[in-house]
Amino acid sequence: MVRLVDAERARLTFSLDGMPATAQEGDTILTAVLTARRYLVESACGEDKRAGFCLMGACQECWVAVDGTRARACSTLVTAGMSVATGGHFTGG
Amino acid sequence: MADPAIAIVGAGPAGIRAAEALSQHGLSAILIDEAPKGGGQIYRQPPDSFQRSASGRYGFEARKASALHRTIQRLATAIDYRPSTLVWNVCDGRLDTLCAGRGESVVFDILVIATGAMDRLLPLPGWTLPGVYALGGAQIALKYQGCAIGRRTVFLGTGPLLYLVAYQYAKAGAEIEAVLDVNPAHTKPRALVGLASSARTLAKGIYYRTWLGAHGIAVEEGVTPMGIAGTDEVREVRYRRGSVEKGIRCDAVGLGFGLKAETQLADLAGCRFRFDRESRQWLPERNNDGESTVSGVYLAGDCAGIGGADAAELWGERVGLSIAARCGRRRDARRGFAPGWSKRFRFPCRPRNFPTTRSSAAARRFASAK
Repeated sequence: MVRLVDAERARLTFSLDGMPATAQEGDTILTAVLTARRYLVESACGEDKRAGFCLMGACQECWVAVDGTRARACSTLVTAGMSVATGGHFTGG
Repeated sequence: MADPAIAIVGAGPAGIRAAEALSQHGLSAILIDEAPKGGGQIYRQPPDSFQRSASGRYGFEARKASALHRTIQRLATAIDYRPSTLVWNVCDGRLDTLCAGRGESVVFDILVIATGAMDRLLPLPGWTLPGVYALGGAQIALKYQGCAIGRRTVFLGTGPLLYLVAYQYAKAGAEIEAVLDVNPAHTKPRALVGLASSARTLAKGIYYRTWLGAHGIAVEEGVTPMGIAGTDEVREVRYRRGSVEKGIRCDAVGLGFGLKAETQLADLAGCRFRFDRESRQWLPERNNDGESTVSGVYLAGDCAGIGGADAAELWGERVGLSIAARCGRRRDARRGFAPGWSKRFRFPCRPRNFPTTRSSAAARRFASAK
């Protein structure tokens, strides 16, 4: 994921797998993670890495845990201080 | 039924226009939408922090997008509008919804399904690699997040969206390695015959295709995709053209083979489906009022067959007018009203009972467990 337009917006800090991370205001979790690294989660059906697919909440490829609750990374905006966990055990359902 | 409970699912072109038509007839609907802001996928609105202009974001469709956004903004305070709310089931005249982790039920007498369309996808080796996205998803990345799916993108598949998304990416400054169309050039006009807006769709398609060529972006038609290669990320798209196998290096792929109607709610509601040869999809049947085979369940827009956003707005309005007429409502005299409508469609409303036997067994199990 590469920022092209409106690429300089206010910064937010959140926690990604226990480490401090930065997002921009209005970023989905998916955007914030994938502008920093190439994958989002480990697949629910194996060990391969996944990075979302449909980006419209339909494909179920981007489940993460947000403050302990399941959320789709493509449809959830990052808020300051949010804690996001992408470990496989959160994504399988 | 003078004041039936009306629920609309989906706040895209069809759902918004349906809500508007109902509201103009003094009927208030509950408008439920999964997105935080109305517009649907085609006119999806970005979060507030984005500044890009409507013309930058929606191109030729900016005027229509802005008009629709103004309508939903106006309706939002006038009707029961529930954004960020997922409808995950319909059963016995009741919708089950989920909003911010909380489940709720919405009881209705009349239901308008306006769930739109999604990408039609065909799996191929490597399609689950990070960096491969649905074409519609690639477009959402740009429209909703100001992002490209990669630094060097290949668009692969077919349909009007293939050239449109490539064009939008190029306009926004993204680097495109190639546009690979599985259809040979000569089949396209024929494939578009039957679409309500075929002439305009075709004209725009030709424009985008020509624009890409004029800007030095490689477009190949009649390719056979072989797969996407890479380990933990996209490295290359492999394809064949004639007897020659080729590869193009890239770090992202936008993949899509046209659109398909989003029919799951219509299925749960018990609507009868027929196989549509043109789109090669099972589609819920609807009559000229947009009503399905289940009395009181209406299908507006692309959810019962792909016609595009313009047709979806018209379907939405038509369904709204049909329901208004069914409830014996006349349009506000100040705004005028086509004389044919009220006469043709005046018939009484009846309460609806949904046959539970046709709902999904899993949904019923869940409902009884609650």
